[in-house]
Amino acid sequence: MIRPTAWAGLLATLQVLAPAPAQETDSPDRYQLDFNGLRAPVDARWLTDDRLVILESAPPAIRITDWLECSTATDIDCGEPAGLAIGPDDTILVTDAARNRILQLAPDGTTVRIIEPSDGLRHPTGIAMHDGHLYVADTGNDRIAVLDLDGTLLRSIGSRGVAPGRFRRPQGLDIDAADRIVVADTDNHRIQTLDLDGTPISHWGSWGSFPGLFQAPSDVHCIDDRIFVSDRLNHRIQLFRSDGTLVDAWGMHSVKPREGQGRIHYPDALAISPDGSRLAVVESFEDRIQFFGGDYPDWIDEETRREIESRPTTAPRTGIQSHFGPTVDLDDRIMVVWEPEARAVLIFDHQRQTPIRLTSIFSRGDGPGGFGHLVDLHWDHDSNQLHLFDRGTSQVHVYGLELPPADQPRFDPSMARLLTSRTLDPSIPMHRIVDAERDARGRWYLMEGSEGTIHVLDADLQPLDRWSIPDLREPAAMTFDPRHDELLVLDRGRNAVHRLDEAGRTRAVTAIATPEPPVRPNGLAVTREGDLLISDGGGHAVHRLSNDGTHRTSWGTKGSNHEEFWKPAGIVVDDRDRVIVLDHGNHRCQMFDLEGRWLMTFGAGRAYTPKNRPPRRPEDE
Amino acid sequence: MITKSAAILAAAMLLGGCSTSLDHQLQTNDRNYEVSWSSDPSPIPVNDFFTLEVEVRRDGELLTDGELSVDAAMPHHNHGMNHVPLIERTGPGRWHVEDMLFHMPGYWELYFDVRDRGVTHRAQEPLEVD
Repeated sequence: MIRPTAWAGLLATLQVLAPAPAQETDSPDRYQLDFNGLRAPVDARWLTDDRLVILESAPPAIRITDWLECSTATDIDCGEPAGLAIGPDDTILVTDAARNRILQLAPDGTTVRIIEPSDGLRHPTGIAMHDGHLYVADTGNDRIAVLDLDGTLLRSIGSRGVAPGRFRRPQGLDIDAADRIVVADTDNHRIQTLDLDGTPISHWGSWGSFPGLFQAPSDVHCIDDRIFVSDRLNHRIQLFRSDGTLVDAWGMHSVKPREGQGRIHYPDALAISPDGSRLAVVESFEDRIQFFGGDYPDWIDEETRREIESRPTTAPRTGIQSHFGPTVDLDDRIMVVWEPEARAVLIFDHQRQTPIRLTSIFSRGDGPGGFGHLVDLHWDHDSNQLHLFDRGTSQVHVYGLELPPADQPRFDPSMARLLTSRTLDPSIPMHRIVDAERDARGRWYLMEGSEGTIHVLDADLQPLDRWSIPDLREPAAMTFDPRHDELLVLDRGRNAVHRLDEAGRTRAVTAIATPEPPVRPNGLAVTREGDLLISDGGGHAVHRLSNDGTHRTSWGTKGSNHEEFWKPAGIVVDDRDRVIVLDHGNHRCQMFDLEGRWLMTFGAGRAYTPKNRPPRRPEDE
Repeated sequence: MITKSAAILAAAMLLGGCSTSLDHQLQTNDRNYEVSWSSDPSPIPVNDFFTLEVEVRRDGELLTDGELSVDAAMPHHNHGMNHVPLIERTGPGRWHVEDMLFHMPGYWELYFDVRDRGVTHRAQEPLEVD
């Protein structure tokens, strides 16, 4: 065990801010402190002795904190840790979303048992233990699976849909004091409660940003009469009574990422201390956990406490709605970006020195043309059509654009017209698709995230074929290499690129041979010369490899300045060899040449180039 | 507002033997369906309820199956209507729509979404309401 002062960069920043005005509720909304420098934490739970277990994902590890006394991270044998539960005797249970199983761990991280249900899970995430049974948010199967510790499926609750008792990609759950299952029904943007047999009891919320509404709620945690919800795309926590009555909502970051100090950014999970006084909010995106409520830790002396409480700042409850990413497509003129918080698609003309926004397509609800969770955008410059692949509503939307002349770019909010929305053939599980690509012949390729399966469709989106790719462990992205007439698939689990011929046969598997292995490769692009470009979300870098996998160059470090990245996601390259990287964690795009030289940074409403750098901030001096 | 393409479409429908008493003729954005509509009162008022009569044809014939949704939005303001319209099928390819309300003056787009054989096709009418 080491003291926090000795963490030296591991938990680099410990910041304390003044409390909000006293609340008359029992809401722990008073910001207290945060742990920074964690490694993509995805969940946390308190042990009975008041220590906190933190589950990290990049690389997979657990870490046990004793109120700022922290063990070092212990690596665990897990593909993609997603959820954490604590059982009797402080048993640690972890869902492995990549390998579709549950791990029972000892506190030292060793695997005690692997639970692999015969009736398979698909991308399991949230987990709770109750009366010796495991309740698992089986996200990819749109259900709640109830298992015993041997992996026997006792009950399967729900299926895909919007009616009470049905789910769309549920991600978090808990069992409340009244023995109800409380579910974060993520893509339905609501909370559902059910009895332990699965009979629906109540539900509340829908998509929106007003208090009481949700945008992709990712986790719930219940204690006594309170239900805490991490409202992920609203960047806040909401607190309800067990009957759904809203008590409090707080957290949204106000200006920019990296703020902390009560400003929440993409909360993935939360945990309430056993005494119900302290809330831990897990923000994988920020490599951080923030704590709210509860008594000050012993190491804060009286003088420091008075100084803290004299500060006038309060945690903001409102903030920006302007984000950027994570999905992008482009041709020689048009760039298209998905902005999930606003449920909008932004369309730019990038021919000029800085991009010009031409139009935005906003989704209004779940009606015709409404989209919820886009996994891919595909712009076709020949037809001026935009395909939106929507995992949220299991539909494909096609918009036509009447572009202005290239020398007269202008903004027109009604430039895009919905042509069609369609539900694909039932053989294609649209809600499990993670990427889509189209080849020069017009055929579509839709890839399932957890199966290693690629569906081949004709130009009218009718099924042609179905490929099962051997040894494809964790598919993350695809791109088409026209030079070699190959479909390239990025395999995050193997840190490799699979090369498929036109019949889906594997021609080669190219290892990503970078000096330091990628931590979490997210995006894949191919240059005109056939070089591979890979965005590394965990390593905060971009790698360029030759077509045979030889490392050519890498660039980027973790940070928020130009030429730095924070969890880069989508990556594309245009016909002028300009590389555009969606710097998702910084809510912006950055543009480079093939050698990694910075050309431009731009986001919604601002752009910087080497000739037009932003003024330096005082903290950078 | 009747666009030039709508006028051409109306002429084509008359030449093709189709007839409609409705004021406005549109094609869906993918040009697969014809949508005719009229409002009561006409022109559409600001901040007052109005109704619509709608006909949908495919290849000149009234649509015997399929569904219709109607909505409207102000794209410059990124909002829609404050009311959810009530839509009643009155016959093959014909619908009556109530509870339409444009609560603000300005540029509106009226959307007719035809759901047929698993695919939604949109026709839309630009309207300047004042």
